[in-house]
Amino acid sequence: MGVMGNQSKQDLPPVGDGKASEVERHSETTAEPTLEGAFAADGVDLTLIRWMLERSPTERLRAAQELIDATWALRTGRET
Amino acid sequence: MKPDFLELFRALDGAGVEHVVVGGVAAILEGAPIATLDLDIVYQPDHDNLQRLVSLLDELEAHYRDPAGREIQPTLERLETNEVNLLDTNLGPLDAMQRIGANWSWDDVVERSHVVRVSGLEVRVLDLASIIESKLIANRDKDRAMLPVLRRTLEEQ
Repeated sequence: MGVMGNQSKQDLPPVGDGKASEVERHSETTAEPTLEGAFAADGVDLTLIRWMLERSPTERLRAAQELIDATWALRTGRET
Repeated sequence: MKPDFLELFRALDGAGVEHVVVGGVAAILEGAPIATLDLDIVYQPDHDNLQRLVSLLDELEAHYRDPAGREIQPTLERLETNEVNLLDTNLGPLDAMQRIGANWSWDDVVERSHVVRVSGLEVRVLDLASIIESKLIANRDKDRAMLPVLRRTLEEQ
């Protein structure tokens, strides 16, 4: 073997820094959220697509891997 | 085993296996918000590359996901003969194929691919328009279900 390991979590950057800009914070206090333009006519969530497209391939893979890790933890009843 | 895509990328890269990532993981790398459990690749079919792939698969303790539950290991001959090899490895499911879509060979797939950097690795992936085309050609329920998200992602790119 020799290829196994779990280095991926250490090597992948975090998905977003969780900080809002000044403009974003201001908007949060003065505007109401809207669903207008959020969904395509066929029901596809465009906001989720844009969220993914704003990320690098590394971050996109990390998001997919985190989903698997969480699902696996639920299936096996263990923390990853 | 739990899929670990980055470790599979590292393993393929470390073994020098020429391949193109296709299917769900390729769609994710291209920006589509979908979920998948297996890594689909098309491998370069030259003898030397097949040998590198067989050695790696041995290292990863790969075996076919056999519906009858038999323990069948991938060999050079099987990888040469079978166009689709559904494998399980100690880094998760790996589907190794020679052709996809409209009978696209290695050269066709490479032509429709580009390189992205993933955690310091150069990973060659099928472009999103070709992923969509391959899903249209496959025309299975699961492929059709994914098409709206893939098409919208391509529009938003």
